Order: sequence, then C-alpha cells, then structure tokens
Amino acid sequence: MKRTAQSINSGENTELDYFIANPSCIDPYNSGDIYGNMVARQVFDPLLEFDFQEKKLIPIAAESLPSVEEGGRRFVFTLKKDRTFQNGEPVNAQAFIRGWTRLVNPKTGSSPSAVAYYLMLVKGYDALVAGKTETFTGLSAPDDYTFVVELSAPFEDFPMITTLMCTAPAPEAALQDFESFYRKPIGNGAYEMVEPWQDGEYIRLQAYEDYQGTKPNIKKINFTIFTDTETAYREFRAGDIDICEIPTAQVRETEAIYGTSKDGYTITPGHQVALGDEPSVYYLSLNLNNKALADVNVRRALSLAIDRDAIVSTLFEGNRTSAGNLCPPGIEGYVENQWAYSHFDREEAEKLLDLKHPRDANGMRDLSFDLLYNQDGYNKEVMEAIQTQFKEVGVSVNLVQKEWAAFVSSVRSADFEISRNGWIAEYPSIDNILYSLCYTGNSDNLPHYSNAQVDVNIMKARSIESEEERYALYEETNRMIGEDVPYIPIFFYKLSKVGSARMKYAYISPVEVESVANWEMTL
Amino acid sequence: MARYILRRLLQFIPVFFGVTIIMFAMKNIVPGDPIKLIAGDKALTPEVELSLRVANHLVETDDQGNPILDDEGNPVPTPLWKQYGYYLDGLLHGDLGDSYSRKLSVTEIFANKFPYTAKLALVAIVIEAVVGIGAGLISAIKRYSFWDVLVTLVTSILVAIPAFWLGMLLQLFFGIILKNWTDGAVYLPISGAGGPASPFNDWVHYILPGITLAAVSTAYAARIMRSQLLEVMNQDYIRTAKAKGLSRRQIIYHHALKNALIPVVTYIGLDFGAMLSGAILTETVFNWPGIGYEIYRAITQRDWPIVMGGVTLIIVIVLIINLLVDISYAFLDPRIRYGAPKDEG
Repeated sequence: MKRTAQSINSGENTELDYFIANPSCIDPYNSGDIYGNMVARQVFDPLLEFDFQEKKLIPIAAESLPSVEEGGRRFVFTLKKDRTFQNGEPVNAQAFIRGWTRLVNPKTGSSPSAVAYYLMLVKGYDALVAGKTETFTGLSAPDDYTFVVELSAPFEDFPMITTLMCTAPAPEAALQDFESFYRKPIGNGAYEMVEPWQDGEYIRLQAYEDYQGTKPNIKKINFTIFTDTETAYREFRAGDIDICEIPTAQVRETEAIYGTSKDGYTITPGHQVALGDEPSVYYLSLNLNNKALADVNVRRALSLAIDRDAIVSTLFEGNRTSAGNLCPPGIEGYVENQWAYSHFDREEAEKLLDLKHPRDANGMRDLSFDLLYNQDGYNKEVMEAIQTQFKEVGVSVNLVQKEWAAFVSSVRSADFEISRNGWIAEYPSIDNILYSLCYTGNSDNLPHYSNAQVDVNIMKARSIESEEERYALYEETNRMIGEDVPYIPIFFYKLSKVGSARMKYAYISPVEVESVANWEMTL
Repeated sequence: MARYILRRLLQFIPVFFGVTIIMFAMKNIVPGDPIKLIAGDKALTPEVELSLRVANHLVETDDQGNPILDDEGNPVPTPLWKQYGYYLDGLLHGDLGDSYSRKLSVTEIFANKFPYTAKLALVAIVIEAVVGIGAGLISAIKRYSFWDVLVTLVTSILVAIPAFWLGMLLQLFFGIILKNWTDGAVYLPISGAGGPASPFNDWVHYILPGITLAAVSTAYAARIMRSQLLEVMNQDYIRTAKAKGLSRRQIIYHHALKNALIPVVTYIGLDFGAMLSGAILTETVFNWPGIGYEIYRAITQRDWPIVMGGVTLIIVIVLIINLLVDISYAFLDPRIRYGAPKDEG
C-alpha cells in the first residue's frame, strides 16, 4: 500500500505513539482518569511532582518545596519566574488562584467538576462549591510569584495534593472560552496541543518551543485512543504503537518476546515489559450492618480463609500481588503484611468460626452471604474462587452479579452483604486509603466502619510535622484497622505496559501519569 | 406516489413518540443513577452531586437556578413528564443535550461520529450488493457447477464466522503477517479511520472493516439471490419468454432478474439501516470511531442524553431507509403502485 509523505519513519522528528482509552476529560478542570491525566501532565506542569523512584516530592512549577506554617495549616509556594503558558501569559500566583477557583466553582463550564473535592480542606471551599461566592478565600498572592494556601484543618501531606493535575494553573484564556479550552487546553507544560482533542480518535501534542524547563527529547506525541486493548495490542505488534497496554491473558507471552523491565517501570530495548506494582488494591467490603458480619471473629475467619496466592497465580499468572493489608505498595506508609488476618490460614479460620457457628451434619455452618460484584474483567473468576474457598471452611456464598451501573447503585445505597471493590491511591500517601475508606461517615467507607480511635489517629497524624512520627502513627492506625477487618484485601494491581524497540528510555510511573520530557527514542 | 410518501412520513410521528416514551419509561425503570456513575467507583461530595443534578435538569430549580428543597431539605426530582418536555423542546431546537460524562454536546458527538459510521456502512453495502448479487447470480446461472459449489461453500463458512473473529484474522494476516513477510512494504492498517498521524490515505482504512462488516450479509445476500433467481426461472412467464425464442441472457437480465431482486433489495435495505445504526463488534475490533460503540458505552454508563440522541437518530434513519426500500419496489415491479386503490394496481 502507498505510504504518504507523512510517514513516521521518514520524518525528521521523533514521534511517540502512545495508547490511551478515551479520556473523560483532558482539561485539569475535570481530569479524573489516568488517560486524561496523562495527556494533561504533558500540557501542564503542576506545582510539585512525586518521584516514585526516590520516594519524595520534587518541585516542578514551584521553585522549591513549600514552607509549611501554622502546624500544617498554611503552605507558601514560591513559583518559578520565567514560565509562561503556551499563549504567552505568565504563570504567576494568580494563574494558580484562577485554576483552583475554576476547579471548585460550580458555575465554571456547563456543570461542576467531579474532582474538586481534592481541595476540600482549603479554606473557603464550602462556600465556593455551594455557589455562594466566586472567590476562594483560602488562596492568596502576597506578590506575583508567591502562592499561599490556607487550610481549614491541618494536613501535613497537603503538598501531595498539588501533584494532581486538577491543581494545575489556568491562563485567562480558560475563563474566556470554556468550550474551546476544554477541547484544547493551553497549559504551562513542555508540550502544547496541535489541534483539539478528537473524541474517540486521537490527541496530538508537539513540544512547546518557548518552554523554559528542560526541553523534551521527543518532539511530538500522538495519543491514539482505543476502545479495545486487544486491538491496540495488535497495532503494537504491527509496530504502530510505542507504549501499549498488554491484554491480561497475554502478559507472559509478551514478556517472552520483549523482555521484562528490570525495575518494573523503566523501559529500555530488550527490557520492554513494565510490570511494576501499582498503588491500587482489590478487596471485599464487609457490610458491618449485617448481623453475622458484625462479629469480628467471622470477619477475621473469612479473611483467613482466602488463599490469595492461589488466586493470583492461577487467574493472573502472577501479575498481581497478594494483599497483606489495605494500603497498596509504592506509596508513603506502605509496609508489607500489616494486617494480622490478611493471609491464608484455614485452620485458624476454622477455629474462629467454630466459636459460634459450628458445622452441622452436612459440614456447613449457619453462615451464608451474598457476594456482590460487577460483571467486568476477571471479577467472576475471582469471586468463584472465593466462593469455593469459603465453602472449604463451611461458609456458603451466593454470587450476585450486576452490570456496572446497577452495581454502583447497590454499593452506594449499602444494599449488599459483601461486595467487591477497588481503590487507586489518589495521592501517594497511606492517608488517602485510611481517610477515604476507614474514616467514620466517609462516603467511600462502604462497610460503614467506625472506630473512634482510628478517627482520632488519622486527624492527629495529619497534624504531625515530623514525617517519621507521622507515618509511624499512620502505620499503627493501619494495624489497628487490620484487627477489625472491615475489609478483606485480596490483591494489589500491577502495571502491564509494553514499549516498542524504538524506546531507548521510558519510565512508566506506578500511577501511569508521568512527563515524557526525559524519555528518549530512536528514529 | 407523493401522497403515499407523505402518508408514510406522517406515520413517523407516532412511531417517534412511541419509542421516545418507551425510552423515558426505561430510564425510570433501569437501575443505575447516571450522576453517581460520573466519578466511577468514587463517591461524589453531596454539593457536587446536587450541582450536577441541577446542571442536567434532574431536580427542580427556582428562577435563579437554585435547587428547590422539600420539607426535609432534599432536592425535588424533576418529574419524568417535565424531563420529556425538556427533551422534546431541545430536540425541536436541534439540541439533544450534553453527555453526562464527557460534557460534550450530543449533537456534536453524533455529528463527528455518524459520518464514520455512514461511510463504513456505505462501503460495506456496496461490497454486499456487488459481491452478494454477483455471486448469487453466478451460482444460480451456473447451477451445480464448480462456481456454484464454491459460492455455497464460502457463504456457509462466512455465515458461521462471527464478525469480530473474521476481523481479527484479517488484522493478523494483512496487518502483521503480511507486513513481516514483505519487510514492511505491503500491509493494511489494523485500526482507526485514518487522520493526520496515519501513514495511509484515509480510504485504505476502510478496506478491512468494510469487508468484515459486509461478510455475513454478503453471504446471505448471495444465497437469497441464488434461490430467488432459481425460483423465478421456473415461472410460467419465463417459459413463455423461452418459447418466444429469447436468448438466455435476455431472459435473465430483462425478465427474471428484476423480479428476483425484490427480496434481495429488501434484505440489503434493512441491512443498510442496521449498519447505519452502528456495528459495535466491528467498530470495537477496528477501533472505528463510529456511533455503535458510543451508544453501547452510553448504555453501560447510563449516559441518557447520548442514548436518547442515538435512538432518535437511529429511528429516523431506519424509517427513511424502509421508506426508500418500499419506494424502490415500484421501480422493480411495475405491478406495485402506491397511493392508488388496490384494484387499479
């Protein structure tokens, strides 16, 4: 077939072809999924970034890490002075105030942002999000390049929030024309949009010429949007994609062909398959309003009855890690096997169950649960394995499969006994897991778990200045929750990305959102 | 004829109302709250959830656009008939609303995606008509010959192969194996509809999905063509034509073919309507940016504005195509006349 002059091989510039699924949004205003965030990260520089290799925060749009004042209630960021948006506007403190106000103000665009809640702790959030005012009182700019954030409660890890793409700055242009900015955002990052996002087709970026940071090696990025990973992977095999997702069933085969990355994240020729840990966890939520599940010994026994290693090795060919607690690896505060009952011990499980629920003549106990899950992915297989393993200890399980929309409605209205859920750490701290999933009354705390000491500890940890002491308290709290077993952690996810031989160097971060500015490609 | 077309067009109205009312009823019955699904697994804060409901006309608001609360402080949901009113009002102004999940206007989404679906359907229907009718003709004319056996065999296989599997085989062969054999000189694109980043001209992208989409229908069209032509060839008037001493070619093309075509045209016409409604499997396998996958995704996400817009679009298309098929009968068979009393026809 005829090749046109646009042929990627004859071009002078390197062009990166990167697989994504259709993002829900690429404007930081509403970028909630990894793909939207991946695009947004190239177009925008956030204040800070979390370096997963060194496990520390590094300044990006900020000159340095912020100074923390008033016991974790006030953060002062000094901005780099030479930076501009891709339309020439300066990236000053006003640009951040504009961006953050735009994010929370429900009158921005046609409907409110679904990710504004990250700024919940900033003073003035409540009034702004309720539409009572147009100003964000917790934000101020003593001078052009000093950006001050005040919180309504102490949160020492707040700087981690400023690594998220929704906290990116916004130029004046964003306020003038919401619609066009939504499709073609103008950022302060190393790449600019060539043309508006072609919904369901592609998003094209090119290096921003006047970028004052480190100039990227790769001059063009073409994000090709796929609906089906299998098709994308065939395109990869044909040599038309450089970074692709591997279909779950083909991970081992792909490793054999392309070689495994040494650290699980870095892609170099011959070591092209990245299978590193991801900060996300797959677990069962136990509804504590259920009579039988209100008994801690039953919960502990159920958790002990699950052979996680068997599930991981047979269903996922080892491309998952058995979970020894609720906090996934890779983030601050993760320590292996923190939960006392999150391992396989059938004998112990039997003992705990025998206390109140002895086996009857048929060998079963008077315990039967509905296990709710959504029909996607490998859920069915995992749930069937768990059903079998529960049966081994005399507990019968009735599998209830629902399609996604019906499933979400059921778990949100607490209409379940045991349900399958997952969580991706939103910022790289154990705080995100403990606060979102275990703090009393939080909407993502599906089991309705409440432990006064846990609540006190989380709030206390948030105000401890010393990182060491802070995380010691978080870890202690995590172990405390592990005694109560409101959740049964099953496994942690892993990356399954493959790079083409054209990639001389690429680093996929555990959250799959990273700047490609320091990546290298051969022509 | 004009009266007939007008009458058929007027019939669109009750059909349209019927279907949209059923859709609205389903919206109420089917479980799953679209607003709760916007953030996926993550719960929205109550303020944001309420603002989203306001923005999407799902709760009653006062003149300032603030939600009206009941005695217990809960927002009052907009009654269905009122939502239907908003929908019809928007529709008459050419506005199908905005997608819940992507904040793009539904009109714009379909304006971007429908052309891809339509062009692919056109390619497929041309393949179906040309190859299907051609193969059916050959196998009927040369009955029990090698060609007849071949067509019967191939059509049997095509009918049995699921479209997505055929698509994958074509992708593997033309996209990967052929490329490796020829060292990258000759191959076809595996997915997508072209665009600036593709090394191919856009039309090349239509080949494999076009064949995949047409495959099963082409097989059916060929079989219907064959059996219809054989049946017509046994009719009295054909025998008369033979007795008149007409050549076999004249008999087939001037007398038999037109009559035999009616069921084939019906089939192809209905099939065209179905293709224009989007082909989820073909679109998914070839990553085709058409409306089929979009509507499928919208259903799973309860993105009602897209579902409603899509269904509205499909109803209009199917009704128009059915009308065109019916009109075409009159040209194929002069005995069929519309809009006049039956005994005159």
